[in-house]
Amino acid sequence: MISTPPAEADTAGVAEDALISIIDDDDSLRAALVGLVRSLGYRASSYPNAEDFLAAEDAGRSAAIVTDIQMPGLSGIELKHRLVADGCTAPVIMITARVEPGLRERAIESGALCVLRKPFAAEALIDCLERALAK
Amino acid sequence: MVTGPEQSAEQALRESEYRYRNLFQAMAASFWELDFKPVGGMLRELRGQGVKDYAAYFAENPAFVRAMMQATRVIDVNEQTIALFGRGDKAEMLQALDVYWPDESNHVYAGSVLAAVGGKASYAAECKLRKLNGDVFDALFTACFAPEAVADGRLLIGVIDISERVQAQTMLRQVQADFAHAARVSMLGELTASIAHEVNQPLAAIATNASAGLRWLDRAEPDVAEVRALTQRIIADAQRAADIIARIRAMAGHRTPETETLTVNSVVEEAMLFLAHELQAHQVSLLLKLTKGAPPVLADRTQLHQVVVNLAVNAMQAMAQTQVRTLTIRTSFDDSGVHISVEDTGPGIKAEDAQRLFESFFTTKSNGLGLGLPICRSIIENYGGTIRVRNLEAGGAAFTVTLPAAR
Repeated sequence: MISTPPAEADTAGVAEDALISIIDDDDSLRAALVGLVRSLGYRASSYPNAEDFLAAEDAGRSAAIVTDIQMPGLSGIELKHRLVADGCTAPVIMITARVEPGLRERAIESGALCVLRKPFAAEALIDCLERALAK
Repeated sequence: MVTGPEQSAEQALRESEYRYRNLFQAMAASFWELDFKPVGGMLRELRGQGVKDYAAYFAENPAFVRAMMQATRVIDVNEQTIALFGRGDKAEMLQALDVYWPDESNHVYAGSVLAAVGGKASYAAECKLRKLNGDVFDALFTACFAPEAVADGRLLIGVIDISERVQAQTMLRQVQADFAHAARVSMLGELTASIAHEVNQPLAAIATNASAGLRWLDRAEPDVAEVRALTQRIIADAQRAADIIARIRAMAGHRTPETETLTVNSVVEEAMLFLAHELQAHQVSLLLKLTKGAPPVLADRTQLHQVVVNLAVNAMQAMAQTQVRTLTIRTSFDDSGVHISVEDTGPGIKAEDAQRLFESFFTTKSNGLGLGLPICRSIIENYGGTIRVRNLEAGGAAFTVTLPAAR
């Protein structure tokens, strides 16, 4: 990405409901993911990169984390390693537009619950979210 | 025999005239002697009517320029002229000049009149001229305004047939455009993963937004405001996808290059579309240092995208083995023109390679064809620019494209 907009926290929705954290450097996809999560009745907070997410210290409060794999700075896989090291057990759903061999395996190995390839069907993401929240 | 001074002067004049006639006939180029006396009268009349700016008047009144040609008589031509323009008969060639002059070359006739009026010694221009059989060809036209001849209402012009040269240039441009296209297509092939990513991104957003919209509609009390906001985002994302496709189509397409007025900053920013994801994949950080206020340049937009993308991809590949990977794209301008500089933090260019970098089929890459840089150079030179390479003090190489400022 050429520009990285400041972190935004969208916490509209019902306070009692689960918080889903969304990390993607693409502005429009990030906004779309927030919209989808909210339409499901969950709260959403979103970040353009993993560093901003970690700085916001939302990891511990997140019921699930949806992250892009390739981002400027920490990748989604590196983020997952960091979370594990920090003792954060929130399930992580990874999304990617890349098809390079071995990527999916590395993501699963790092502990990702699901790996979705863009463009993915919203139903697939919803299934993953439901599995994540059932944990 | 006694010869007085008058006789010898007359003889000298005869000899001079004889030499001139011989020269006139012997020249390899087509030469014409014209009588333009009536044109002087026409110009004086214009002045009398208050016309001060002949150039503007000629531009606005092509019929007057045509009338001047009709008033200009061909009084003599050499053998080469008959061979080039005629049908073997000199007499039929001695008529008004305008039959030889297609409308598209009006400005050259007007230009030579203006040069004569302005006291210039000569005038030359490339233009189309017409043969008696109607064929139009590319010619180099020259006119010589010798003061004594002009005072006499006579003018000597020369014509050289340059149609073969013009054809060769046209063919060369075509071949260059073909090569540039082939290189673009091959470059697109290398960038497929990045391009797919750029298209997938808005598609993923559209699918997600639409799905969220359905969910808001399916609620017991549908939330119209949410659906409206989502639908607007869908429209924006669809537009983004369409823009990306249009840019790729321009890169992949094969059309005649079109010179237009461009700002280098917009070209660099547009070229980033092809690179944004490639940079991430190669873990290269990008530094854009774009100077505002640079004058525009004249070039084909897609070809300039191609040059920027090509130099940037080279830079990324050069940094594959280095620890610090920073690509800097800089724009600037000064009296020598407008510059685009693409800098890497790789190992730099070896002295023995520097001379050969722009040669066709020279490559330092295991899978390179060695056509990228020569094509970049031919594109840039086609627009009157230069492309240079140097090593940076801090390490790495810098390729600098300089294009003349459009005025």
